[in-house]
Amino acid sequence: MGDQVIVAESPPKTLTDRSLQVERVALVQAWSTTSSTGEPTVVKVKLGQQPSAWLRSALQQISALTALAAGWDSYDAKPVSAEMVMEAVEFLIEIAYPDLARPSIVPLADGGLQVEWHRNGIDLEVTFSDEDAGVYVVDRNKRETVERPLSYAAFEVTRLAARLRDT
Amino acid sequence: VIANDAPVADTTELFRRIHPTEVVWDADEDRPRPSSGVFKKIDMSVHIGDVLQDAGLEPASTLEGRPNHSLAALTAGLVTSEEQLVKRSPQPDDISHGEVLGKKSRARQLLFARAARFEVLQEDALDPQVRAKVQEARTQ
Repeated sequence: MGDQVIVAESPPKTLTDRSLQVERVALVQAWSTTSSTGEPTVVKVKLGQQPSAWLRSALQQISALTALAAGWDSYDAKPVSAEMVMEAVEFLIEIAYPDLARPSIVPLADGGLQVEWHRNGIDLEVTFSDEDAGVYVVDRNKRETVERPLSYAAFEVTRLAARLRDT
Repeated sequence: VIANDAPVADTTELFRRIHPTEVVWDADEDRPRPSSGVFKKIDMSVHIGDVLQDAGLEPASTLEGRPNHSLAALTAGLVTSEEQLVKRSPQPDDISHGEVLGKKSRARQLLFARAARFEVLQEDALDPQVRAKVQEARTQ
């Protein structure tokens, strides 16, 4: 799709300080991977300051996704796993810059979650999955493709934040 | 009746049910589309258009009993050009069932997502923000 793939050994230091202090106070309640009905996952997040509007909305959306039962896609999808929920929530908290556009948050058939932005010539997809985790960026303006481990996800969002704004 | 081993023509459409939470808004394309996450599986289930047509069924018939799902379509030619194999694998409750077999890289997943068109889009079931964008785009 793109012409250039950037590879690096480890993620650079975060580019900017956080404008939002968030304290996570409780984790996952329980999860049964054998459940056919998809027991809800409970993740409690305490927000230290008034969060950006999109973060609150995103967390509510994730909460709703945890209620999806096995087979939710009408094929053979697994319920969203508690572990993937926690990873996605931690990521969103890390990049909760108020000016960012609200990302789409999509459940994956393997029990994972995908957080995505598609705007201003950028496709940025962060995949939380046991099978296929990572961050994938297509910058169509620069004809550049970046595929990196999940540890780079916050860095990539921060690097591209100006183009991921809700304009 | 189409034989299970009959080749699938490039122009044949392959339909995939899309849960409302799998629909994203692509601001660059100014339209809703399936998330690339829909197209990850190495053995992705689809419903093959020529079988539906041969049986006198509309593609939307694959949504029966699933009022909130939308239906996306890709051509067989597109997926086979991306090193995928389209296999007919009818099931007792779905004669049109098939699979798109092959490794789907991130680039491929996104390619399929952007190429997909909605045969049926259940707007009322979409995320409210996506629905609002769809309605906004329609009025422009």
